[in-house]
Amino acid sequence: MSALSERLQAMASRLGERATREMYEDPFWQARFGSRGREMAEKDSQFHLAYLVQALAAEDPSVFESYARWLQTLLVSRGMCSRHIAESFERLARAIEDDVNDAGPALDVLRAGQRALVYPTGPARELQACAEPLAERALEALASRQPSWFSMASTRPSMAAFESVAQAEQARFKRDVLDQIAYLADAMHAGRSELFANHVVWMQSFGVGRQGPVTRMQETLLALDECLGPPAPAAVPEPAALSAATSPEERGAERTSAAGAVRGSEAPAARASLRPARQRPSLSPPPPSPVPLPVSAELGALSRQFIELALQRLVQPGAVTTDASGVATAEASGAARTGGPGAAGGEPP
Amino acid sequence: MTERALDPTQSIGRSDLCAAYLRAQLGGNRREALRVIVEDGLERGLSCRDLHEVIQRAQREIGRLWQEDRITIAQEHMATAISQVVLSHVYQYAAAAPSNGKRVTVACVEGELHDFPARLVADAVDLAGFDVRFLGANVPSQHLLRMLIEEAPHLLVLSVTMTFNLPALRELVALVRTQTPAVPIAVGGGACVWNERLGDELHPDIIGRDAAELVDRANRLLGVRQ
Repeated sequence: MSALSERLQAMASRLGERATREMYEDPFWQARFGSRGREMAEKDSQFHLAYLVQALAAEDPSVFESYARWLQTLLVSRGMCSRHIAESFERLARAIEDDVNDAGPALDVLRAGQRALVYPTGPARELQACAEPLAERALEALASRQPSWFSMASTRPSMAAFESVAQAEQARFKRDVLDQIAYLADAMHAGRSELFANHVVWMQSFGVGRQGPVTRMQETLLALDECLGPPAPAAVPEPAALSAATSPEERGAERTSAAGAVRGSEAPAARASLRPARQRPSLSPPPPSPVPLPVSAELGALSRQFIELALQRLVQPGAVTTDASGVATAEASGAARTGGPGAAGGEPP
Repeated sequence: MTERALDPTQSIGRSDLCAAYLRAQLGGNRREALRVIVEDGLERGLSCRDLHEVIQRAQREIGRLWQEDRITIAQEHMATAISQVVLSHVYQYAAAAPSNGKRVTVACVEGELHDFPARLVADAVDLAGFDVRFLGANVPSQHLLRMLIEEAPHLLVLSVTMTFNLPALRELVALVRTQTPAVPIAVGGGACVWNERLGDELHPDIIGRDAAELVDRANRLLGVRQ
Protein backbone atom coordinates (compact mmCIF):
# COMPACT_ATOMS: atom_id res chain seq x y z
CA MET A 1 0.00 0.00 0.00
CA SER A 2 1.33 3.42 -0.90
CA ALA A 3 2.49 5.81 1.81
CA LEU A 4 -0.27 8.25 0.90
CA SER A 5 -3.00 5.66 1.21
CA GLU A 6 -1.64 4.62 4.59
CA ARG A 7 -1.63 8.21 5.80
CA LEU A 8 -5.17 8.70 4.59
CA GLN A 9 -6.29 5.53 6.31
CA ALA A 10 -4.76 6.71 9.55
CA MET A 11 -6.49 10.09 9.27
CA ALA A 12 -9.78 8.80 7.85
CA SER A 13 -11.87 9.46 10.92
CA ARG A 14 -10.76 13.09 11.25
CA LEU A 15 -11.00 13.82 7.53
CA GLY A 16 -14.48 12.35 7.20
CA GLU A 17 -15.72 14.14 10.30
CA ARG A 18 -14.44 17.47 9.00
CA ALA A 19 -15.92 17.04 5.52
CA THR A 20 -19.33 16.15 6.95
CA ARG A 21 -19.28 18.92 9.58
CA GLU A 22 -18.48 21.55 6.97
CA MET A 23 -21.18 20.24 4.68
CA TYR A 24 -23.76 20.46 7.43
CA GLU A 25 -22.81 24.03 8.23
CA ASP A 26 -25.07 24.76 5.29
CA PRO A 27 -28.60 24.54 6.77
CA PHE A 28 -29.85 22.98 3.54
CA TRP A 29 -28.32 19.64 4.45
CA GLN A 30 -29.84 19.42 7.92
CA ALA A 31 -33.22 20.50 6.58
CA ARG A 32 -33.10 18.14 3.63
CA PHE A 33 -31.70 15.01 5.20
CA GLY A 34 -32.02 15.54 8.95
CA SER A 35 -29.99 14.03 11.76
CA ARG A 36 -30.16 10.56 10.34
CA GLY A 37 -28.88 11.91 7.04
CA ARG A 38 -25.94 13.46 8.85
CA GLU A 39 -25.20 10.22 10.63
CA MET A 40 -25.26 8.40 7.31
CA ALA A 41 -23.16 11.09 5.65
CA GLU A 42 -20.46 10.54 8.27
CA LYS A 43 -20.48 6.82 7.57
CA ASP A 44 -20.50 7.49 3.85
CA SER A 45 -17.43 9.67 4.13
CA GLN A 46 -15.63 6.69 5.67
CA PHE A 47 -16.72 4.55 2.74
CA HIS A 48 -15.49 7.23 0.34
CA LEU A 49 -12.13 7.17 2.08
CA ALA A 50 -11.99 3.37 2.17
CA TYR A 51 -12.45 3.20 -1.59
CA LEU A 52 -10.09 6.10 -2.15
CA VAL A 53 -7.43 4.29 -0.13
CA GLN A 54 -7.93 1.12 -2.17
CA ALA A 55 -7.77 3.03 -5.45
CA LEU A 56 -4.47 4.54 -4.36
CA ALA A 57 -3.15 1.19 -3.14
CA ALA A 58 -4.00 -0.39 -6.50
CA GLU A 59 -2.85 2.73 -8.38
CA ASP A 60 -6.12 2.44 -10.23
CA PRO A 61 -8.65 5.31 -10.17
CA SER A 62 -11.25 3.04 -11.77
CA VAL A 63 -11.72 1.41 -8.36
CA PHE A 64 -13.10 4.69 -7.05
CA GLU A 65 -14.94 5.42 -10.29
CA SER A 66 -16.81 2.10 -10.03
CA TYR A 67 -17.68 2.93 -6.45
CA ALA A 68 -18.89 6.42 -7.43
CA ARG A 69 -21.21 5.03 -10.10
CA TRP A 70 -22.52 2.36 -7.77
CA LEU A 71 -23.10 4.94 -5.05
CA GLN A 72 -24.83 7.24 -7.52
CA THR A 73 -27.56 4.69 -8.22
CA LEU A 74 -27.89 3.91 -4.52
CA LEU A 75 -28.22 7.49 -3.30
CA VAL A 76 -30.16 8.90 -6.23
CA SER A 77 -32.76 6.22 -5.55
CA ARG A 78 -32.94 7.47 -1.97
CA GLY A 79 -33.46 11.16 -2.54
CA MET A 80 -30.05 12.63 -3.28
CA CYS A 81 -28.81 14.01 -6.57
CA SER A 82 -25.48 13.46 -8.30
CA ARG A 83 -24.49 17.02 -7.50
CA HIS A 84 -24.74 16.26 -3.79
CA ILE A 85 -22.47 13.25 -4.20
CA ALA A 86 -20.00 15.35 -6.17
CA GLU A 87 -20.11 17.92 -3.37
CA SER A 88 -19.31 15.30 -0.77
CA PHE A 89 -16.28 14.21 -2.83
CA GLU A 90 -15.25 17.84 -3.23
CA ARG A 91 -15.47 18.55 0.49
CA LEU A 92 -13.40 15.48 1.20
CA ALA A 93 -10.84 16.68 -1.35
CA ARG A 94 -10.64 20.06 0.36
CA ALA A 95 -10.17 18.47 3.77
CA ILE A 96 -7.42 16.25 2.39
CA GLU A 97 -5.76 19.13 0.57
CA ASP A 98 -5.62 21.14 3.79
CA ASP A 99 -4.51 18.39 6.15
CA VAL A 100 -2.43 15.94 4.13
CA ASN A 101 0.93 16.67 2.54
CA ASP A 102 1.59 15.68 -1.07
CA ALA A 103 -1.99 14.54 -1.52
CA GLY A 104 -2.14 15.20 -5.26
CA PRO A 105 -2.86 11.60 -6.29
CA ALA A 106 -5.75 11.42 -3.82
CA LEU A 107 -7.25 14.61 -5.18
CA ASP A 108 -6.90 13.22 -8.71
CA VAL A 109 -8.82 10.08 -7.71
CA LEU A 110 -11.60 12.11 -6.09
CA ARG A 111 -11.89 14.27 -9.19
CA ALA A 112 -12.04 11.10 -11.30
CA GLY A 113 -14.90 10.02 -9.06
CA GLN A 114 -16.70 13.29 -9.73
CA ARG A 115 -16.27 12.81 -13.48
CA ALA A 116 -17.61 9.26 -13.18
CA LEU A 117 -20.92 10.74 -12.04
CA VAL A 118 -21.49 12.03 -15.58
CA TYR A 119 -23.82 9.63 -17.33
CA PRO A 120 -22.31 7.94 -20.38
CA THR A 121 -25.06 8.66 -22.87
CA GLY A 122 -28.59 9.90 -23.39
CA PRO A 123 -30.63 12.94 -22.41
CA ALA A 124 -29.44 12.80 -18.81
CA ARG A 125 -25.88 13.26 -19.98
CA GLU A 126 -26.92 16.06 -22.31
CA LEU A 127 -28.68 17.81 -19.44
CA GLN A 128 -25.67 17.41 -17.16
CA ALA A 129 -23.45 18.86 -19.88
CA CYS A 130 -25.55 21.99 -20.29
CA ALA A 131 -26.41 22.47 -16.61
CA GLU A 132 -24.37 25.62 -16.08
CA PRO A 133 -25.61 27.67 -19.07
CA LEU A 134 -29.10 26.31 -18.52
CA ALA A 135 -29.10 27.52 -14.92
CA GLU A 136 -27.90 30.96 -16.04
CA ARG A 137 -30.64 31.22 -18.63
CA ALA A 138 -33.27 29.89 -16.26
CA LEU A 139 -32.34 32.61 -13.78
CA GLU A 140 -32.64 35.19 -16.54
CA ALA A 141 -36.02 33.77 -17.45
CA LEU A 142 -37.03 33.86 -13.81
CA ALA A 143 -35.92 37.49 -13.57
CA SER A 144 -38.06 38.21 -16.58
CA ARG A 145 -41.03 36.38 -15.13
CA GLN A 146 -40.64 37.79 -11.62
CA PRO A 147 -38.51 40.94 -11.73
CA SER A 148 -39.31 41.89 -8.14
CA TRP A 149 -37.56 38.78 -6.86
CA PHE A 150 -34.29 40.08 -8.22
CA SER A 151 -34.78 43.80 -7.92
CA MET A 152 -33.05 44.50 -4.64
CA ALA A 153 -29.55 44.85 -6.05
CA SER A 154 -30.55 46.99 -8.99
CA THR A 155 -32.91 49.27 -7.10
CA ARG A 156 -30.57 49.85 -4.17
CA PRO A 157 -27.15 50.06 -5.76
CA SER A 158 -25.83 52.45 -3.15
CA MET A 159 -26.54 50.10 -0.30
CA ALA A 160 -23.66 47.70 -0.24
CA ALA A 161 -25.18 45.50 2.41
CA PHE A 162 -28.35 45.04 0.43
CA GLU A 163 -26.32 44.37 -2.67
CA SER A 164 -24.30 41.71 -0.97
CA VAL A 165 -27.46 40.12 0.43
CA ALA A 166 -28.95 40.18 -3.03
CA GLN A 167 -25.85 38.61 -4.51
CA ALA A 168 -25.91 35.90 -1.89
CA GLU A 169 -29.57 35.31 -2.59
CA GLN A 170 -28.86 35.11 -6.29
CA ALA A 171 -26.05 32.61 -5.67
CA ARG A 172 -28.39 30.53 -3.55
CA PHE A 173 -31.02 30.73 -6.25
CA LYS A 174 -28.50 29.50 -8.78
CA ARG A 175 -27.39 26.65 -6.56
CA ASP A 176 -30.99 25.61 -6.09
CA VAL A 177 -31.53 25.65 -9.84
CA LEU A 178 -28.39 23.61 -10.43
CA ASP A 179 -29.64 21.11 -7.87
CA GLN A 180 -32.97 20.93 -9.64
CA ILE A 181 -31.25 20.31 -12.96
CA ALA A 182 -29.19 17.57 -11.33
CA TYR A 183 -32.30 15.97 -9.85
CA LEU A 184 -33.97 16.18 -13.24
CA ALA A 185 -31.02 14.51 -14.98
CA ASP A 186 -30.85 11.76 -12.35
CA ALA A 187 -34.58 11.12 -12.57
CA MET A 188 -34.34 10.91 -16.36
CA HIS A 189 -31.47 8.45 -16.19
CA ALA A 190 -33.33 6.30 -13.67
CA GLY A 191 -36.56 6.63 -15.63
CA ARG A 192 -38.27 7.67 -12.38
CA SER A 193 -40.02 11.02 -12.55
CA GLU A 194 -40.96 10.83 -8.87
CA LEU A 195 -37.32 11.34 -7.88
CA PHE A 196 -37.46 14.82 -9.40
CA ALA A 197 -40.99 15.56 -8.19
CA ASN A 198 -40.15 14.54 -4.62
CA HIS A 199 -37.31 17.03 -4.52
CA VAL A 200 -39.43 19.77 -6.06
CA VAL A 201 -42.16 19.27 -3.48
CA TRP A 202 -39.62 19.31 -0.68
CA MET A 203 -37.94 22.45 -2.01
CA GLN A 204 -41.29 24.16 -2.12
CA SER A 205 -41.85 23.58 1.59
CA PHE A 206 -38.24 24.47 2.37
CA GLY A 207 -38.53 27.69 0.40
CA VAL A 208 -41.73 28.65 2.17
CA GLY A 209 -40.06 27.87 5.49
CA ARG A 210 -37.25 30.31 4.76
CA GLN A 211 -39.67 33.05 3.75
CA GLY A 212 -39.19 32.64 0.02
CA PRO A 213 -41.91 33.39 -2.52
CA VAL A 214 -44.67 30.82 -2.33
CA THR A 215 -44.61 30.24 -6.08
CA ARG A 216 -40.85 30.08 -6.36
CA MET A 217 -40.68 26.43 -7.33
CA GLN A 218 -43.47 26.68 -9.88
CA GLU A 219 -41.91 29.72 -11.47
CA THR A 220 -38.49 28.10 -11.45
CA LEU A 221 -39.83 25.02 -13.18
CA LEU A 222 -41.61 27.11 -15.77
CA ALA A 223 -38.43 29.13 -16.31
CA LEU A 224 -36.44 25.94 -16.76
CA ASP A 225 -38.96 24.71 -19.26
CA GLU A 226 -38.80 27.96 -21.18
CA CYS A 227 -35.05 27.58 -21.54
CA LEU A 228 -34.92 23.98 -22.70
CA GLY A 229 -34.89 24.06 -26.43
CA PRO A 230 -37.06 25.79 -28.96
CA PRO A 231 -40.44 26.38 -27.37
CA ALA A 232 -43.61 25.07 -28.91
CA PRO A 233 -45.64 27.74 -30.75
CA ALA A 234 -48.12 28.28 -27.98
CA ALA A 235 -45.56 28.18 -25.28
CA VAL A 236 -44.23 31.70 -25.04
CA PRO A 237 -44.82 33.75 -23.12
CA GLU A 238 -47.48 31.68 -21.43
CA PRO A 239 -46.26 28.50 -19.72
CA ALA A 240 -48.87 26.48 -21.56
CA ALA A 241 -45.79 25.22 -23.38
CA LEU A 242 -45.74 22.26 -21.10
CA SER A 243 -48.84 20.81 -22.67
CA ALA A 244 -47.16 20.75 -26.07
CA ALA A 245 -45.27 17.63 -25.19
CA THR A 246 -48.23 15.75 -23.81
CA SER A 247 -50.60 13.44 -25.61
CA PRO A 248 -54.16 14.54 -26.45
CA GLU A 249 -55.46 12.30 -23.70
CA GLU A 250 -53.10 13.89 -21.24
CA ARG A 251 -54.06 17.31 -22.44
CA GLY A 252 -57.71 16.44 -21.87
CA ALA A 253 -56.96 15.34 -18.38
CA GLU A 254 -54.79 18.36 -17.90
CA ARG A 255 -57.66 20.75 -18.32
CA THR A 256 -59.08 19.50 -15.09
CA SER A 257 -55.74 19.10 -13.38
CA ALA A 258 -54.24 21.37 -10.84
CA ALA A 259 -51.23 21.76 -13.10
CA GLY A 260 -53.52 23.31 -15.66
CA ALA A 261 -54.42 25.87 -13.07
CA VAL A 262 -50.77 26.65 -12.52
CA ARG A 263 -50.36 27.34 -16.18
CA GLY A 264 -53.29 29.69 -16.22
CA SER A 265 -55.46 27.69 -18.60
CA GLU A 266 -58.29 27.07 -16.18
CA ALA A 267 -59.66 27.72 -12.74
CA PRO A 268 -58.96 31.37 -12.10
CA ALA A 269 -59.43 31.00 -8.37
CA ALA A 270 -56.80 28.33 -8.15
CA ARG A 271 -54.51 30.29 -10.45
CA ALA A 272 -54.83 33.29 -8.19
CA SER A 273 -53.71 31.29 -5.22
CA LEU A 274 -50.88 29.40 -6.89
CA ARG A 275 -49.42 31.85 -9.27
CA PRO A 276 -49.07 35.47 -8.25
CA ALA A 277 -49.37 38.11 -10.92
CA ARG A 278 -46.06 39.32 -12.26
CA GLN A 279 -44.81 42.35 -10.46
CA ARG A 280 -42.72 44.70 -12.54
CA PRO A 281 -41.01 47.80 -11.23
CA SER A 282 -42.61 50.79 -12.85
CA LEU A 283 -39.36 52.64 -13.60
CA SER A 284 -37.35 49.91 -15.27
CA PRO A 285 -38.38 47.58 -18.04
CA PRO A 286 -38.36 43.86 -17.33
CA PRO A 287 -35.28 41.99 -18.43
CA PRO A 288 -35.77 40.35 -21.81
CA SER A 289 -36.63 36.69 -21.91
CA PRO A 290 -33.51 34.63 -22.54
CA VAL A 291 -32.95 32.69 -25.70
CA PRO A 292 -33.74 29.02 -25.04
CA LEU A 293 -30.81 26.66 -24.91
CA PRO A 294 -30.96 24.39 -27.94
CA VAL A 295 -31.31 20.79 -26.83
CA SER A 296 -32.19 17.54 -28.52
CA ALA A 297 -35.84 16.74 -29.13
CA GLU A 298 -35.51 13.78 -26.78
CA LEU A 299 -34.26 15.90 -23.91
CA GLY A 300 -36.82 18.59 -24.63
CA ALA A 301 -39.73 16.17 -24.58
CA LEU A 302 -38.52 14.25 -21.55
CA SER A 303 -37.78 17.34 -19.50
CA ARG A 304 -41.22 18.74 -20.24
CA GLN A 305 -42.83 15.49 -19.23
CA PHE A 306 -40.93 15.38 -15.94
CA ILE A 307 -41.49 19.08 -15.22
CA GLU A 308 -45.18 18.66 -15.95
CA LEU A 309 -45.44 15.79 -13.50
CA ALA A 310 -43.57 17.77 -10.87
CA LEU A 311 -45.90 20.71 -11.35
CA GLN A 312 -48.85 18.42 -10.88
CA ARG A 313 -47.36 17.18 -7.63
CA LEU A 314 -46.81 20.74 -6.45
CA VAL A 315 -50.45 21.65 -6.65
CA GLN A 316 -51.82 18.46 -5.20
CA PRO A 317 -53.58 19.17 -1.92
CA GLY A 318 -51.09 19.12 0.88
CA ALA A 319 -48.08 18.89 -1.38
CA VAL A 320 -46.76 22.31 -0.52
CA THR A 321 -47.19 21.98 3.18
CA THR A 322 -46.12 18.38 3.40
CA ASP A 323 -43.05 17.89 5.48
CA ALA A 324 -41.32 16.17 2.66
CA SER A 325 -38.03 15.96 4.46
CA GLY A 326 -39.19 12.53 5.45
CA VAL A 327 -38.93 11.49 1.85
CA ALA A 328 -35.24 11.70 2.07
CA THR A 329 -34.46 11.75 5.73
CA ALA A 330 -35.41 8.21 6.48
CA GLU A 331 -33.43 6.63 3.73
CA ALA A 332 -31.07 9.15 2.24
CA SER A 333 -27.42 8.58 2.09
CA GLY A 334 -25.34 5.78 3.19
CA ALA A 335 -23.77 2.71 1.81
CA ALA A 336 -23.23 2.16 5.49
CA ARG A 337 -26.89 1.78 6.23
CA THR A 338 -26.88 -1.82 5.21
CA GLY A 339 -23.34 -2.88 5.50
CA GLY A 340 -22.12 -1.32 2.32
CA PRO A 341 -21.83 -2.04 -1.34
CA GLY A 342 -21.48 -5.78 -0.94
CA ALA A 343 -24.87 -6.36 0.53
CA ALA A 344 -27.50 -8.14 -1.49
CA GLY A 345 -25.95 -11.40 -2.35
CA GLY A 346 -22.51 -10.07 -1.80
CA GLU A 347 -22.01 -8.98 -5.33
CA PRO A 348 -21.64 -5.38 -6.29
CA PRO A 349 -22.80 -4.77 -9.84
CA MET B 1 -31.58 -38.19 -8.40
CA THR B 2 -29.97 -38.21 -11.80
CA GLU B 3 -30.07 -35.61 -14.48
CA ARG B 4 -32.52 -36.48 -17.22
CA ALA B 5 -32.65 -35.42 -20.79
CA LEU B 6 -34.60 -32.22 -21.16
CA ASP B 7 -38.12 -32.83 -22.34
CA PRO B 8 -38.83 -30.03 -24.81
CA THR B 9 -42.54 -30.24 -24.13
CA GLN B 10 -41.95 -29.55 -20.49
CA SER B 11 -38.92 -27.38 -20.63
CA ILE B 12 -38.82 -24.02 -18.97
CA GLY B 13 -36.33 -21.40 -20.05
CA ARG B 14 -33.74 -20.22 -17.63
CA SER B 15 -35.12 -16.68 -17.87
CA ASP B 16 -38.60 -17.88 -16.96
CA LEU B 17 -37.19 -20.00 -14.20
CA CYS B 18 -35.23 -17.05 -12.88
CA ALA B 19 -38.32 -14.82 -12.95
CA ALA B 20 -40.38 -17.43 -11.10
CA TYR B 21 -37.61 -17.97 -8.57
CA LEU B 22 -37.25 -14.23 -8.04
CA ARG B 23 -40.99 -13.89 -7.44
CA ALA B 24 -40.84 -16.61 -4.83
CA GLN B 25 -37.86 -14.98 -3.17
CA LEU B 26 -39.50 -11.56 -3.02
CA GLY B 27 -42.68 -13.14 -1.70
CA GLY B 28 -40.69 -14.81 1.06
CA ASN B 29 -41.97 -18.17 -0.12
CA ARG B 30 -39.25 -20.69 0.58
CA ARG B 31 -41.28 -23.72 -0.45
CA GLU B 32 -42.20 -22.15 -3.77
CA ALA B 33 -38.59 -21.15 -4.37
CA LEU B 34 -37.52 -24.72 -3.69
CA ARG B 35 -40.27 -26.08 -5.92
CA VAL B 36 -39.21 -23.81 -8.78
CA ILE B 37 -35.59 -24.87 -8.62
CA VAL B 38 -36.07 -28.55 -7.78
CA GLU B 39 -39.27 -29.43 -9.68
CA ASP B 40 -39.22 -26.97 -12.56
CA GLY B 41 -35.46 -27.01 -12.88
CA LEU B 42 -33.67 -30.05 -11.57
CA GLU B 43 -36.38 -32.63 -12.25
CA ARG B 44 -36.84 -31.36 -15.78
CA GLY B 45 -33.22 -31.91 -16.57
CA LEU B 46 -31.47 -28.65 -15.94
CA SER B 47 -27.92 -29.14 -14.73
CA CYS B 48 -26.56 -27.83 -11.46
CA ARG B 49 -24.54 -25.37 -13.53
CA ASP B 50 -27.76 -24.04 -15.09
CA LEU B 51 -29.42 -23.79 -11.71
CA HIS B 52 -26.46 -22.07 -10.13
CA GLU B 53 -26.62 -19.57 -12.95
CA VAL B 54 -30.33 -19.01 -12.29
CA ILE B 55 -29.64 -18.43 -8.59
CA GLN B 56 -26.72 -16.13 -9.33
CA ARG B 57 -28.82 -14.09 -11.73
CA ALA B 58 -31.63 -13.84 -9.21
CA GLN B 59 -29.21 -12.72 -6.52
CA ARG B 60 -27.79 -10.03 -8.79
CA GLU B 61 -31.31 -8.84 -9.52
CA ILE B 62 -32.06 -8.75 -5.80
CA GLY B 63 -28.96 -6.63 -5.36
CA ARG B 64 -30.06 -4.26 -8.09
CA LEU B 65 -33.53 -3.93 -6.61
CA TRP B 66 -32.06 -3.04 -3.25
CA GLN B 67 -29.61 -0.60 -4.80
CA GLU B 68 -32.48 1.15 -6.54
CA ASP B 69 -34.46 1.28 -3.30
CA ARG B 70 -37.21 -0.94 -4.67
CA ILE B 71 -36.84 -3.48 -1.88
CA THR B 72 -35.66 -3.08 1.69
CA ILE B 73 -32.55 -4.54 3.20
CA ALA B 74 -34.82 -6.90 5.17
CA GLN B 75 -36.28 -8.22 1.92
CA GLU B 76 -32.79 -8.58 0.50
CA HIS B 77 -31.68 -10.60 3.51
CA MET B 78 -34.80 -12.75 3.29
CA ALA B 79 -34.17 -13.44 -0.40
CA THR B 80 -30.55 -14.36 0.24
CA ALA B 81 -31.54 -16.66 3.10
CA ILE B 82 -33.91 -18.43 0.72
CA SER B 83 -31.10 -18.89 -1.76
CA GLN B 84 -28.98 -20.46 0.98
CA VAL B 85 -31.69 -23.08 1.54
CA VAL B 86 -32.13 -23.65 -2.16
CA LEU B 87 -28.40 -24.05 -2.71
CA SER B 88 -28.41 -26.83 -0.12
CA HIS B 89 -31.08 -28.69 -2.05
CA VAL B 90 -29.30 -28.30 -5.36
CA TYR B 91 -26.15 -29.58 -3.68
CA GLN B 92 -27.99 -32.54 -2.25
CA TYR B 93 -30.00 -33.58 -5.28
CA ALA B 94 -28.01 -32.53 -8.34
CA ALA B 95 -25.94 -35.15 -10.08
CA ALA B 96 -22.30 -34.85 -9.10
CA ALA B 97 -19.49 -35.66 -11.47
CA PRO B 98 -17.30 -38.62 -10.44
CA SER B 99 -14.54 -37.70 -8.04
CA ASN B 100 -11.43 -36.48 -9.83
CA GLY B 101 -9.24 -36.81 -6.75
CA LYS B 102 -8.34 -33.12 -6.58
CA ARG B 103 -8.71 -31.28 -3.28
CA VAL B 104 -9.88 -27.67 -3.26
CA THR B 105 -10.11 -25.28 -0.32
CA VAL B 106 -12.61 -22.42 -0.64
CA ALA B 107 -12.63 -19.50 1.80
CA CYS B 108 -13.54 -15.84 2.20
CA VAL B 109 -10.58 -13.72 3.17
CA GLU B 110 -10.28 -12.32 6.67
CA GLY B 111 -12.86 -9.59 7.22
CA GLU B 112 -15.08 -10.67 4.35
CA LEU B 113 -18.58 -11.39 5.64
CA HIS B 114 -20.31 -12.08 2.33
CA ASP B 115 -20.04 -15.83 2.02
CA PHE B 116 -22.82 -16.55 -0.45
CA PRO B 117 -20.68 -16.25 -3.61
CA ALA B 118 -17.99 -18.45 -2.02
CA ARG B 119 -20.56 -21.02 -0.99
CA LEU B 120 -21.98 -21.18 -4.48
CA VAL B 121 -18.48 -21.66 -5.91
CA ALA B 122 -17.74 -24.36 -3.34
CA ASP B 123 -20.89 -26.25 -4.33
CA ALA B 124 -20.17 -25.86 -8.04
CA VAL B 125 -16.60 -27.10 -7.66
CA ASP B 126 -17.75 -29.96 -5.45
CA LEU B 127 -20.45 -31.07 -7.91
CA ALA B 128 -17.86 -30.91 -10.68
CA GLY B 129 -16.00 -33.75 -8.97
CA PHE B 130 -13.54 -31.96 -6.70
CA ASP B 131 -13.07 -32.76 -3.04
CA VAL B 132 -13.97 -29.44 -1.39
CA ARG B 133 -13.24 -27.92 1.99
CA PHE B 134 -15.49 -24.88 2.38
CA LEU B 135 -14.44 -22.62 5.25
CA GLY B 136 -17.10 -19.89 4.97
CA ALA B 137 -16.81 -16.19 5.82
CA ASN B 138 -14.04 -14.20 7.48
CA VAL B 139 -11.39 -16.88 7.75
CA PRO B 140 -8.40 -15.73 9.83
CA SER B 141 -5.37 -15.80 7.55
CA GLN B 142 -3.04 -17.57 9.94
CA HIS B 143 -5.52 -20.37 10.57
CA LEU B 144 -6.18 -20.80 6.89
CA LEU B 145 -2.48 -20.98 6.28
CA ARG B 146 -2.09 -23.70 8.91
CA MET B 147 -4.80 -25.74 7.20
CA LEU B 148 -3.09 -25.31 3.85
CA ILE B 149 0.17 -26.57 5.30
CA GLU B 150 -1.56 -29.59 6.83
CA GLU B 151 -3.77 -30.52 3.91
CA ALA B 152 -1.80 -29.30 0.90
CA PRO B 153 -4.82 -28.88 -1.39
CA HIS B 154 -4.45 -28.84 -5.15
CA LEU B 155 -6.10 -25.41 -5.31
CA LEU B 156 -6.99 -22.58 -2.97
CA VAL B 157 -10.01 -20.44 -3.92
CA LEU B 158 -10.28 -17.06 -2.20
CA SER B 159 -13.40 -14.94 -2.34
CA VAL B 160 -13.49 -11.21 -1.69
CA THR B 161 -16.58 -9.12 -2.23
CA MET B 162 -15.75 -5.79 -0.65
CA THR B 163 -12.94 -3.74 -2.13
CA PHE B 164 -11.78 -2.67 1.31
CA ASN B 165 -10.99 -6.32 2.07
CA LEU B 166 -8.43 -6.44 -0.72
CA PRO B 167 -5.54 -5.69 1.66
CA ALA B 168 -6.39 -8.98 3.42
CA LEU B 169 -6.32 -10.73 0.04
CA ARG B 170 -2.98 -9.20 -0.90
CA GLU B 171 -1.48 -10.17 2.45
CA LEU B 172 -2.84 -13.70 2.29
CA VAL B 173 -1.66 -14.30 -1.26
CA ALA B 174 1.84 -13.19 -0.25
CA LEU B 175 1.78 -15.52 2.76
CA VAL B 176 0.56 -18.50 0.76
CA ARG B 177 3.24 -17.97 -1.87
CA THR B 178 5.89 -17.85 0.80
CA GLN B 179 4.75 -20.71 2.98
CA THR B 180 2.89 -23.06 0.64
CA PRO B 181 4.24 -22.08 -2.78
CA ALA B 182 3.00 -25.28 -4.40
CA VAL B 183 -0.65 -24.40 -3.83
CA PRO B 184 -2.14 -22.56 -6.82
CA ILE B 185 -4.43 -19.67 -6.02
CA ALA B 186 -7.78 -18.72 -7.56
CA VAL B 187 -9.45 -15.43 -6.68
CA GLY B 188 -12.96 -14.26 -7.36
CA GLY B 189 -15.85 -12.17 -6.07
CA GLY B 190 -17.26 -8.72 -6.59
CA ALA B 191 -14.09 -6.90 -5.60
CA CYS B 192 -12.31 -8.53 -8.53
CA VAL B 193 -14.90 -7.04 -10.89
CA TRP B 194 -14.36 -3.52 -9.56
CA ASN B 195 -10.57 -3.92 -9.53
CA GLU B 196 -9.73 -4.80 -13.07
CA ARG B 197 -5.99 -4.60 -12.54
CA LEU B 198 -6.03 -7.12 -9.73
CA GLY B 199 -5.01 -9.92 -12.08
CA ASP B 200 -1.98 -7.98 -13.27
CA GLU B 201 -1.09 -7.07 -9.72
CA LEU B 202 -1.44 -10.43 -7.96
CA HIS B 203 -1.01 -12.82 -10.89
CA PRO B 204 -3.32 -15.47 -9.43
CA ASP B 205 -3.41 -18.80 -11.22
CA ILE B 206 -7.12 -18.28 -11.82
CA ILE B 207 -9.32 -15.22 -11.67
CA GLY B 208 -12.97 -16.07 -12.24
CA ARG B 209 -16.04 -13.97 -12.76
CA ASP B 210 -18.51 -16.67 -11.79
CA ALA B 211 -18.72 -20.22 -10.53
CA ALA B 212 -18.91 -21.86 -13.95
CA GLU B 213 -15.87 -20.01 -15.23
CA LEU B 214 -13.93 -20.94 -12.14
CA VAL B 215 -14.81 -24.63 -12.51
CA ASP B 216 -13.71 -24.63 -16.15
CA ARG B 217 -10.42 -22.96 -15.33
CA ALA B 218 -9.80 -25.23 -12.37
CA ASN B 219 -10.31 -28.25 -14.63
CA ARG B 220 -7.80 -26.88 -17.12
CA LEU B 221 -5.28 -25.82 -14.50
CA LEU B 222 -5.33 -29.16 -12.72
CA GLY B 223 -5.53 -31.24 -15.88
CA VAL B 224 -8.91 -32.73 -15.10
CA ARG B 225 -10.46 -34.50 -18.05
CA GLN B 226 -14.15 -33.68 -18.33
